[in-house]
Amino acid sequence: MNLCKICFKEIEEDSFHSFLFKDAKICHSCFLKFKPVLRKFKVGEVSCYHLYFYDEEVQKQVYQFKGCFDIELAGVFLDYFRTYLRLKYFGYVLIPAPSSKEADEERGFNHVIEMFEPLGLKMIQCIHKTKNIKQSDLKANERHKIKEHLTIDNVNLTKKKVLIVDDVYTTGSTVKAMIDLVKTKNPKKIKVLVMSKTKDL
Amino acid sequence: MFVCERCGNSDPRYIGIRNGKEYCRFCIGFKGEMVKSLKPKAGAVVMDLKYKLSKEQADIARKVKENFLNGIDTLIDAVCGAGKTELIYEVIACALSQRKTVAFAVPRRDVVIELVPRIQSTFPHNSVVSVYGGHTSKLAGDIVVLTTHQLYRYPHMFDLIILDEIDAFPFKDNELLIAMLRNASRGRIIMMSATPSDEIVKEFSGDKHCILHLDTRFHRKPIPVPKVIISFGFTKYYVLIRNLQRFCKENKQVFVFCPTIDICEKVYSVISKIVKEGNLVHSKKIDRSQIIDDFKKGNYKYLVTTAVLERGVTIKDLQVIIFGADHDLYNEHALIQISGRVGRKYDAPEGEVLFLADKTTVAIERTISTIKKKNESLQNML
Repeated sequence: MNLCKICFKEIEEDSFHSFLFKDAKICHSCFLKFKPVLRKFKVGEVSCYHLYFYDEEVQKQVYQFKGCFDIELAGVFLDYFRTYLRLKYFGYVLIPAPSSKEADEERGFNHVIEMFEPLGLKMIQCIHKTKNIKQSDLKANERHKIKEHLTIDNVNLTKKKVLIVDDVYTTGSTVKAMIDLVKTKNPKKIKVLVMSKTKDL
Repeated sequence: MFVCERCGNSDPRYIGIRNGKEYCRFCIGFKGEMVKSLKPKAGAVVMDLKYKLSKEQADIARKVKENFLNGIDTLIDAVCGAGKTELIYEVIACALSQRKTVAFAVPRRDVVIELVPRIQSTFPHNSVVSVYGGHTSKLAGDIVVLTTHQLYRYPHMFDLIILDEIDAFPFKDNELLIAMLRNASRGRIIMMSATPSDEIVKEFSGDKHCILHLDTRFHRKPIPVPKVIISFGFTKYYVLIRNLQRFCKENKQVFVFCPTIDICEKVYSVISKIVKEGNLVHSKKIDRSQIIDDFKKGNYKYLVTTAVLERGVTIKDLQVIIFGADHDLYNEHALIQISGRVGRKYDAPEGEVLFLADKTTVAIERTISTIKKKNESLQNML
């Protein structure tokens, strides 16, 4: 018996969706509430994909996951895209967006790593935050300063295909700063995948 | 086995594992400061009531107090505008004088905001604290008036919990909130409603429980019976505007209830062009408490609104129009509550309730028959 992680109802077995998506963590109706889009957008010259828009329902679940430390929700967001993304990004190396040590310790886990774990790709945690600041506390015109607080470890990324991942994309400052840092290591290819993106105003 | 400290949940469905430790996922959204202990102040309690209770009210108030002292949970089934809040002042005074902790819980924050000054003026020497989402700076006091969502902050702390409007959203049928209510209580619970559901009535029919009925309003005037006006499509707007203009001429304030926010905005955009000095209130409106205040001062002639103003609002000489009373969202309970907004003051015990609908529904018929039944029992009593 499989229970939906969000609405706690039983996920129907032998149904069409359970045939297509084996071992789903949430039921299909809860998934549709996220309003999946999988849309392409560009950051500079790098192509990015986002799965959802950061609207009410996604916001609520992200808050429960990140803010209330509900680790059971970790696999929920990528669940129905898992197989597709695994094929799409075959052979890539994941670089998760950094979060400060203090926040991770308080939470008990790193939310980005937990969220993108189901892809089963190799993960290199090489970018770190040196100062504990939250992007969401800052105003839009202050966010680009994140550049000064990010550092990259001395790792060998040459001839590797790199996929930068993050949970929420708002102004793109973090992602832009990460792309600049990764470029200094001369990888073969850079792509970006974010879980959700705030709607353009 | 794992049992959650906050909500008492032990259902394995709702238990998750984080770093090898079990945690409750049922109440995880409730994150905030917990109260360590509540210490009621010693000393005499002064109850300052500006008016006298009617004979029926006094009877019920005395019975509620007796039940509290004898350890019996009470359900008060009183009609809208019967003066339910006044019924429990005596039991609050009694509990306070015994140095017991008292909570007054309501599902809606608007009702909390409205209740606090009333309770404070009745108990001028005790501290009355209001706790609701976004207003949680002070948590401890002699009487805590709070929304049901805030009950998790007080595990096993209240000797007396009074719960008003039990059949209102979001408390109704919400397992989590009911579990938190049980968890917050270490003594007696008093529930109040004008339209108790069958399950609640069944629960309170058992041992150590008691149901008290109050079928008359304190001013002993009958409850206004709704008038149903059948009209189709856009003619509803015509009927609505004509009636609004009539009420405006008589200098009476009007609530126009609509089933959903979309319909609400649509109706307001149409009628605001013809009947001026109105406004719009629904749950998405940020400054709604300001608008309601302005309405009470008489700055507006009418308000177009949704279910947010369905309960706990007392305005002098108010008239009510329901636009689309045949909508699926309007069940019998909601219609009775809305009709109960009318004629709640001593000096204005009458008023009009109009249902605009395409057709009569079972809910509308049952509403009218229930109100008529209550009015008959009043006639028998007089």
